[in-house]
Amino acid sequence: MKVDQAIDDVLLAEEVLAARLMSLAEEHASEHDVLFMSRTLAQASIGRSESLRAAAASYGFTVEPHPSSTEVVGAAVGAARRGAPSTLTGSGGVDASLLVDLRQTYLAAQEAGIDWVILLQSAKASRDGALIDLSTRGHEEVERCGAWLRTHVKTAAPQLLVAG
Amino acid sequence: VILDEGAARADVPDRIANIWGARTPHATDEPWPVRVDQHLADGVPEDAVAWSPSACVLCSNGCGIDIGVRDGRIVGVRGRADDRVSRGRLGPKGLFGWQANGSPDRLTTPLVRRAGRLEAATWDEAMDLVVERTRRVLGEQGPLGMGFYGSGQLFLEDYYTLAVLVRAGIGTPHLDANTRLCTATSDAALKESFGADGDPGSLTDFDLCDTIFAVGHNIAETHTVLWARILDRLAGPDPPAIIAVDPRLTVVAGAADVHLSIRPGTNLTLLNAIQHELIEQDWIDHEFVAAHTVGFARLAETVAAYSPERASEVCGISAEAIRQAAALIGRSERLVSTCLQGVYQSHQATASACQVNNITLLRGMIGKPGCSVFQMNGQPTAQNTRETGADGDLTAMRNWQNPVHVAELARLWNVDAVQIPSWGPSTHVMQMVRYLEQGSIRFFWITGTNAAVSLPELHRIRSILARDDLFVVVTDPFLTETGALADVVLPAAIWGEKTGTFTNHDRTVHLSEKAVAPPGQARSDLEIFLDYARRLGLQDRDGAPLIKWSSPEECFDAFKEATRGRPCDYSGLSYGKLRGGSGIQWPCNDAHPDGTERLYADHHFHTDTEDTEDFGHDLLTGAAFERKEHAAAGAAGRAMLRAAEATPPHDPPSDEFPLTFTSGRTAYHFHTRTKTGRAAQLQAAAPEPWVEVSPADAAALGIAEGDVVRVRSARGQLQARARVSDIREGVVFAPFHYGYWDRGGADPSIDGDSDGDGGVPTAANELTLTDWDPVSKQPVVKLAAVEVTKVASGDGRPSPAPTTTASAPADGQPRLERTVSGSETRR
Repeated sequence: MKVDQAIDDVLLAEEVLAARLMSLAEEHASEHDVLFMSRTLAQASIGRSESLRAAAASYGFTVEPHPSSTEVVGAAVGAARRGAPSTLTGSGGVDASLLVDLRQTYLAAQEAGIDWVILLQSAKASRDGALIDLSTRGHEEVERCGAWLRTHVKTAAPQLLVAG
Repeated sequence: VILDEGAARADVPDRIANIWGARTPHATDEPWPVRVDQHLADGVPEDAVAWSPSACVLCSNGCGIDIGVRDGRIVGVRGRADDRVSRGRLGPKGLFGWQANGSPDRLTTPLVRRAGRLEAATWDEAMDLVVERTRRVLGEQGPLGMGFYGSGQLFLEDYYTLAVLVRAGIGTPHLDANTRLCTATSDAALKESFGADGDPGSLTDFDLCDTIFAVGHNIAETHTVLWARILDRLAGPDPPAIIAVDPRLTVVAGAADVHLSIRPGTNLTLLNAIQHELIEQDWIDHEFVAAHTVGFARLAETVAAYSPERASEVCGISAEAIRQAAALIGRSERLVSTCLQGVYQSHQATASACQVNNITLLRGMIGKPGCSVFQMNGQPTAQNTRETGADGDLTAMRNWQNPVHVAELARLWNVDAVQIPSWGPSTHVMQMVRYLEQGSIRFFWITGTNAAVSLPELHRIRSILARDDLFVVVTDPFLTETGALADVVLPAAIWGEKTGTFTNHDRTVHLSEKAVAPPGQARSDLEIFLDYARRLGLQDRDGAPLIKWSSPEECFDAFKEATRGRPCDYSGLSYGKLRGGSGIQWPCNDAHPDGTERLYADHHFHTDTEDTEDFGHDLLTGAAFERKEHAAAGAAGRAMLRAAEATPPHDPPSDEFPLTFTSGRTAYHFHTRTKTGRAAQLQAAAPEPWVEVSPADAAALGIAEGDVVRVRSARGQLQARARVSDIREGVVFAPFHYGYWDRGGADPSIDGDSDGDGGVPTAANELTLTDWDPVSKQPVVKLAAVEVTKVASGDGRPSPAPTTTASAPADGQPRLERTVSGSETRR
């Protein structure tokens, strides 16, 4: 049984997602909808991690503590900015770092989403009703987070890249 | 109009003191009696007046009105006895507000900013400048550098011309209107639940219902004639039960069987708990739910977590009161629910409004006499802004994500489909403001709205509109606070001075005829937009002028064609048919030549994927659903029960800001008083701003009636005299009507801690937060954490708040004189 590995992967992905959302809120506090919704979604992510940790403990799984994902993400955000295509950063006086950060957070949500799918599949094969419910809900919520980021990317991109 | 001889004449001398006029009680099985209200200027004999048919534009009820004209001037108004909306009645704003037309400070020529000052100019000078700047911005930045922000005050013909001009001509998605501040959530919630905009019910449902559920809707002050209609039921032999949700003891709440005085920001929790109880008690129309809705299982699962006890803690009311409300709703046989700004301008607006739709659906109370839900409008022509596509919507309730719908418009307008922005939703005003702030929109045309007072976080708005790199055009009948910041101000002809149509909140279309000439060189918005399009040389794909009409009637006929087969079908209407009538409800077409009283009588909703106006959104985040998700939901003509979990508001009370501020209206004023402040009787009834605090808070803060208090949030502050009223403890209220134009001109430069040097800040939006609903994008102007401090003693002078309305003094407070006509003399 490697279900504990699947749980561990979800936890790591959720912590990265939460940290990315918090960073999005801090970096783009002037985008008020990004600020408020990122915070709400980060709280939801932390809530999912807590539920999953509690569930894991009740199964007797030991979940490895993760390195502080805030630091991990801080470094990753910096790297992404440095390595971002030139169209997305700083050209023409318009700061497109919003688009870079939304895109990275979207990818983090995608990663968390697929990790929940893996956990859900193993829960189904284990015929574990409680874990099926938990991972179904977790997957839906992460998909919703990704959908919000996707919607935001779609509306932000034209003005940032075309209106110059 | 021939007056019904048997009709009750409301000869109550003072309609300031008696806002709702005389009672004409009736029973459920009797029609609402006629009562004709009239007001003529002093000394004008009735037989010297010529009457011109119209409808009232000082709220969204759209009461039929005749404009009285003598010697080329408006001298009064009277209600139209045969009008289906009002049966002759008018409210105080309708009776007196027309005087603004004749105000001596109307704008009569264009103004152009020269060396920092606005100076009179010719139309050619002003329009040449507007066109030159348009060309420059289009050349440097393209269409995304252009933004347009309109109104809920113009006529259908003005809006449709603007929509075609901007979407097919300029080709920018940056087109919105101040309906974003008032009824964007109404529109959004109707789309989410029923698949298309348009209130399903008829105002006659208020005559026929046995229960009224009013959520955040102070009907008595926002829609005075509708409240008169309800009062006539309450005075009749079989009055309806009323459940009112409001943190203030409004007149509606006072008349209610159950008043839920909830903590602001907790609507969704309350509404989830009511649904919890409806399901728990099995007050559900299972047959209706099974046949005509989707989403019940998810809804039941979501609301299961919202017991009345849990909601009681969050909302700050008793669980028993929630159960009583649910029981009245659950046992009703003919239920009418209604929402307004207490829902729309609050936290989780669309999610909450959808729960009221859910309650309607769970009870099967739709499409039948006496049964409906009203996602109400506020402004007289808000409905037309939405229908014509002059806000975030696409013309005639089309779906921007549906390429077939976009192609239909391209065919109608004879342009390439790619010209019409459809890669995303139309840009909402708060996002446009952000683009202005970042300098990526450089041309901004504001029509008929006072953004410098009505948008949230005013210090920010003022600084943005004053940016050097931004060219601002303002069209308005008066020099408002916003006009004072503009580069060009264009004088607008208004209601009574132009012909056009508009539609109220039960889809009743009225024709309003030009009764008098506009003052000076003022022009209708339609004329101004046509002139702009002509000067810009906007063309269709064949090189012909893009806009084919030159008169209001030709424009109306073009719009009719755009609506053919759509939910808001106007194809059976014409100016001829509307002339002299009592108003006709859309859809009006070959199948329904006399209009349609109720939508969804067949319980088939606009949720077919090909037909729907919108694929919907996730209610928590606002994430837009796409075609495949809409199709997968499988509604296919069934209504959608939409579930949402409640989250905490974004600006909660804290140690520094321990109270919750909420803003709202009084019966005597509209918007930022550009009209009502210029009608002597209305201005006298509520001449200055005030701040309402509860008796407990007043005692704790050492505040007495009339004391000058300062209300401060993290964004700004305002100052006014205190009224100790029956508002919920912990909540502070101020009306949002009071800007700066009538205190030292239109100078809006009051900012920060400016008290003591002439002006003090009074606008409610000095305090509000830049925050909006994720689905409807409606700003959250009813929730802000504040502190209140006493600045000076009132020395026994009471606050100027009306005593006839929700702002009346609380029980146990000193009794004050009743607000009557001319009562400003007591101050």
